[in-house]
Amino acid sequence: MIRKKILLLGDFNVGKTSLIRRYIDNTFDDKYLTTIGVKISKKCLPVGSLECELIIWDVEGATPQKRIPEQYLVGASGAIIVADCNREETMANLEGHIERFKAVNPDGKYVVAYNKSDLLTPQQLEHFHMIPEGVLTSAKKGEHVNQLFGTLAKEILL
Amino acid sequence: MKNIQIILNAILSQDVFEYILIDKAYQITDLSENVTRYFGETVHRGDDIRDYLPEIVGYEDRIETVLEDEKSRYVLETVYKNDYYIDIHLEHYSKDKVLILLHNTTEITLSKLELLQYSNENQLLFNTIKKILDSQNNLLVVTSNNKIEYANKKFLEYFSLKSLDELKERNENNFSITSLPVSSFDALYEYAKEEEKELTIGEDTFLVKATLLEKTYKLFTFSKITKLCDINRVLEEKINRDPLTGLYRKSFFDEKLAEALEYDQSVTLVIADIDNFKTINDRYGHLVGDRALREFADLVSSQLRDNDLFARWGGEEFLILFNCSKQEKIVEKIESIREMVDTHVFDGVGHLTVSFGVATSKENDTVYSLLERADKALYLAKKKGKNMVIVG
Repeated sequence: MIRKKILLLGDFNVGKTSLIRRYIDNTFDDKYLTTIGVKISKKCLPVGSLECELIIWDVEGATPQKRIPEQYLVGASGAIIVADCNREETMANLEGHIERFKAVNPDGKYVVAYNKSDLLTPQQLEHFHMIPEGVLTSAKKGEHVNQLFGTLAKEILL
Repeated sequence: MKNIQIILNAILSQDVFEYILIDKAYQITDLSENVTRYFGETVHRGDDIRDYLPEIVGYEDRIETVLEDEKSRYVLETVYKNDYYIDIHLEHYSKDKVLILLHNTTEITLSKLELLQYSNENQLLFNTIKKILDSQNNLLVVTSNNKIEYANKKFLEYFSLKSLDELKERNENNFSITSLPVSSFDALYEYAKEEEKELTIGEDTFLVKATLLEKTYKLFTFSKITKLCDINRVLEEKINRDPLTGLYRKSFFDEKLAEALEYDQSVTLVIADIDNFKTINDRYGHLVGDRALREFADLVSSQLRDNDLFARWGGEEFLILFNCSKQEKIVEKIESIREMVDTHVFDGVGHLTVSFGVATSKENDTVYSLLERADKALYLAKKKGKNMVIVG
């Protein structure tokens, strides 16, 4: 079986842990509990004819005071860079997260999740601007979460 | 090797470290008893370490280095495992084996987590409050010794300041960089502490209000009302102007005349009445009559100075107020206007004449008494044959 390390990166409180929880356990909890260090989850999924085990790193969120240690980034084949689509500052910081990931993993693939889309109105959703690699997701409603991980796995393996 | 064993025995007895030895094929060759607390009971010698420690996936090249170089080591900190937090140390054990030390840091990490949770929640709250403050009118907070402590986004944007630091850095005289037209923050506070007061900054008008925050800070709020003032000016113009001729209305004229008399200014009042105007309306219709009134107003206006006040009383009667008591000069001026009208060809009407009554203010004059004298003079001009200037 092919094993691939992927990261979830982004500012704190954008919903990285919730996306993983929705993807792995199909559950959601509204309460904000910050992540410290790193938590690993595993998920097997078929990608074409291949069977792949994603080693998913839930890395603690970046804050203005603390950057993500490089040791967490090393050896990753891909990353999901997460922003809260309701908080401008988290979207403004996306580029910084992408640059940092690519600096350590030049061949790494990434997708961008604009999470908490359930909080946007239909009009806001219609006019929402995002980068081409972006996907609007809702960990709360489970919208586009599987698609997000599946897209990244395909990017890495195919 | 012996030393490592001694150290391991010592630290294992303190329940802080566990160890695993792996070979080049990532198979477990040896492990300490309590490794199961992190990996579960199923872990055994001969198992692939990557099944229990997927954190190693992606680090294969580093493990190669650790095997080959006895000085090489690698640490992965604060990894959550089965309700524990551990630091994972990969160290050279021999050319065939890597030592993995698992350092239990749960206690200290949970303390850090508590602090991080508190810090992140505060940061979220701070961000929300900042957004609320930035969405308000211009806000400025000044310390009791008159140093700027805080200014919100709108305030910084208004004064083209890039950041609050830029404002705060100029400690010595940071008040002056904002071009606020007051001498000091203390003066501004005294000015606006009781109620909102108007303050003009450049071309803008603000309502400013000062509030004391505890005893240490003064909060100034600046609400921009320039647009409101502009609207008021437009409305005032509409109220004070005659819609047909664009001249001032009688009510506005009376107000200005009363002010002048109140301040004992010497003024000369002129009443003008277009002769036989009723026949114009009867003969050509009211639309032509209105056009003639506009033309007359424009013609006279062109001969007056900016500070002369020209108003329409009503119908074909007009008022002119001169801030001047030199009657002969004014009579001369009015006479030239009379002649100009007399020789002018009005569109669709042709020839028109106008009669004038002139009165210069005296001590204790009122609006009524001055108007009365000018009106009597006009009456005389009409009686004597029209198209003339009579001084009352």
